[in-house]
Amino acid sequence: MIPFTLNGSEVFIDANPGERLVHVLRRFGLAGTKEGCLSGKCGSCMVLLNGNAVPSCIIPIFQVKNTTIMTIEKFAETDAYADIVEGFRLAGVSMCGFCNTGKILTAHTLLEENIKPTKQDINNWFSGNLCRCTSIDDLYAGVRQAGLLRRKRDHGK
Amino acid sequence: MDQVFFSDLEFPGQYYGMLIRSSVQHGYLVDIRPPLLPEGYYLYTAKDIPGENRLTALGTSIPVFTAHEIMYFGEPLGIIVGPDPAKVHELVAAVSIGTEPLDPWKFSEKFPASQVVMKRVLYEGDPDSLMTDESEVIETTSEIGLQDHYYAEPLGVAVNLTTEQLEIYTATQWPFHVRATVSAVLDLDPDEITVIPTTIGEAMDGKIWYPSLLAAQASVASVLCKKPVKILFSRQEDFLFSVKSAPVQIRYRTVLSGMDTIEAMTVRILVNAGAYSPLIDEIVDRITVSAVGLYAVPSYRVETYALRTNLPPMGALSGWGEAQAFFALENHIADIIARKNFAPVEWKLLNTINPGEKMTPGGADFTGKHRFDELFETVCLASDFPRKHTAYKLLASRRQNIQDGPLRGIGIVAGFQGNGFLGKTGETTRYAVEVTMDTNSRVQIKTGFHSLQMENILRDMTASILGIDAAQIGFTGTDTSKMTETGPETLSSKITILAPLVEKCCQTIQKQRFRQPLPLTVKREYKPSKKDQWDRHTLKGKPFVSITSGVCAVEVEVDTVTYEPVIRGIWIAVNAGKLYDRKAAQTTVSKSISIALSRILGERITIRDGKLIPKDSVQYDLLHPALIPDLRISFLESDEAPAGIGTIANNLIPAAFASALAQISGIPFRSIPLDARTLYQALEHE
Repeated sequence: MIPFTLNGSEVFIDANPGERLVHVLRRFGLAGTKEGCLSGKCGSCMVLLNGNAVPSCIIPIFQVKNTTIMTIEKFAETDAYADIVEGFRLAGVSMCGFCNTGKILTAHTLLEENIKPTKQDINNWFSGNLCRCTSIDDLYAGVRQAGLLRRKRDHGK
Repeated sequence: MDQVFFSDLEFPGQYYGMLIRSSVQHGYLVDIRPPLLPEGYYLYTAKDIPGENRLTALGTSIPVFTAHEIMYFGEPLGIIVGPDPAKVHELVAAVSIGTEPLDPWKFSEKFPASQVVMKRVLYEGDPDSLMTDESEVIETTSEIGLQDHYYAEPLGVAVNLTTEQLEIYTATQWPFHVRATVSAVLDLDPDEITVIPTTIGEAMDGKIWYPSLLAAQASVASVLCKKPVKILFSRQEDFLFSVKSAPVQIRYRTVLSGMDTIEAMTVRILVNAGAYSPLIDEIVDRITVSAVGLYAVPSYRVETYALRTNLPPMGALSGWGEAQAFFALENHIADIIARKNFAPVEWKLLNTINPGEKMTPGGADFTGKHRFDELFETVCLASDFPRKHTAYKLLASRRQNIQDGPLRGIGIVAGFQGNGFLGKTGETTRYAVEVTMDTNSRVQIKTGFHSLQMENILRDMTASILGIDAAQIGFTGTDTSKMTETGPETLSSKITILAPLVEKCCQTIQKQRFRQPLPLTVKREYKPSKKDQWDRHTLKGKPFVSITSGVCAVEVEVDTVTYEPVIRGIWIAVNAGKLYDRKAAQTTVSKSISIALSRILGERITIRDGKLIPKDSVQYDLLHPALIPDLRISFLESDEAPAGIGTIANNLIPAAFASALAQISGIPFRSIPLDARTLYQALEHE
């Protein structure tokens, strides 16, 4: 049995140690984590592992032992999520929805590190997100807009 | 519109289906020998199909499960379904298939007549008589290979069986085709089938008919085993066996007049149609009509042959052959300009047809204003093309060694995007809308399409015409039982056909709403007029619903050590007609640029022994965002009808990029992708 914290609850999973985390999460009914490329390139399966966005398709389940996993379902309850979604909306970021999870969680991790990212920062951080349906200029604007909203919210506290 | 993905759907008692695929490229199927199936697991093949064992689209038929002649490696022969996907996978792997192999059809310059599935020949005058031994004939041959549509969500379908209905959930660009196909395959009344289109993502034209095939396969299993059935491709299965863009080889031969204008041109086009290609009529016509672009050519011959081969089914991908035609044409034109030392912009304008003149191939009637002079001026001003082109030419002429940087070049290309289907009759042009204003002045729009971006455009337009709040406007219909029956959602049909229909409905309601009691319902259907018809046999008439012209410049620098091409800038100007939403238009062109760059720089498919290579599915690289330069997108707006802009950049950028590289290296590049590997091989060889 492999213990880890999933969306705030301690869970134990009986699985083949090599099973991909994305498959385990979907067994929990967490469909926000999508199965896309299964090679860590597209970002559709991103989760926060100890606070960092990682592609769950290349994380074998044994590696999550005693870690904290947050999926998009739990992250959607946070102010940080609301800022990013609103920032993306204001910038007109069009997303089919399949890779939203990766974009949102990557943007969150980036903004945790750097609240005023440059284009280059955004390029570097989004190197693990592939998508045909989002304009890169809109993504730059969306991440910056989300940063602005987060700064305003932090300033108001 | 909620985003729903079929891959997330689970129904009580659901079974999982996996296709049994052929293990030979071409041959006869002798038998299928499954392992012993445990209880609750079933195998279905062609003989189990209750209705017709075929999908029909645009006049071409494809077997749902092959019963006799195997046409490509991986062709579906049957399906195994059961409750545990791992067990289903194991059982499919254990199936033994008996075959009698046949020689495969190959794609080459010389081919037997029996391999030709379609041929088009267009000519004017006698170009061969002008290509004598004394005349200088400029000849180039370009080749464009396969490209994968690559959807974030791999292909598949979920079928739910209720007591009254067969519910089909799949990401399709043509929900009514799914319904018609399943109806024929199961011999069921269409009213007993409801198709619920799920989120498509970027359309890319890979989901026009292919989801109908998967829906038919899953529905057969579902009805026979009386369980909900889901087929979900793995990434590798999707890559290896789904529809690809058709590879094309195009040879141009041109003779110039004493005035340096094009005097005669011959074009020979070979299209690899794969094992099946339901869209081949449209692709072949479109590539033929686009082959000479908007150049004025007094004497020409365009011959196009679509050849059957034993590769997976071929599809359109964005552009339906236009992108391939423009790459080859502009590659050829760049060669003429370089050899003759012409000024690119001036020479192109000199040879372009005048506004109002007929297009060269077949005298196709293009009476719109292409505004190429303004488009060139816009791009030249923004990019500083004339100065850069001259400077880089000088740099190249003084270069002693390829390591003598900077290695910079710039290319400029003009072309168009054809909107709407060429064959404007039958199933492809069934477009209708219905707009209702109720007693509270709330408006419901009923269409056959679903797209968040399009809904926003229609909502803003409706609010503006009727002077009501956008929040009062809604959309009816999320499945085929509630939608108006329509043709495929492709070729910018939403913006060029659907939006004007909604606009007309709203204008009618606005005229009537203060004179007649509410509610008011207005319906409009698309009916191409006789003068707008295109004759598929003579290739004469008006080929497209409308044409979007554009000009694009691409500036490239090549790293002198790694040979990595770096794009310094892209400037594009589009003659867009009436723009409903500038921001949405910018995003659409930007995405088209990204798809084009991805194709040029990264997407590579190798075919070995008639098979796509599994490792390519992992190595297939979409463009990294860091490689997308600053984009300068300009629109020439007017009061003319809105023009489609979804593929214009994809049609122009590859040729402009190749032209820039040719200026750097002095080597013409006749194929894509044009990545560091290709450059290294070409430059080192040189």
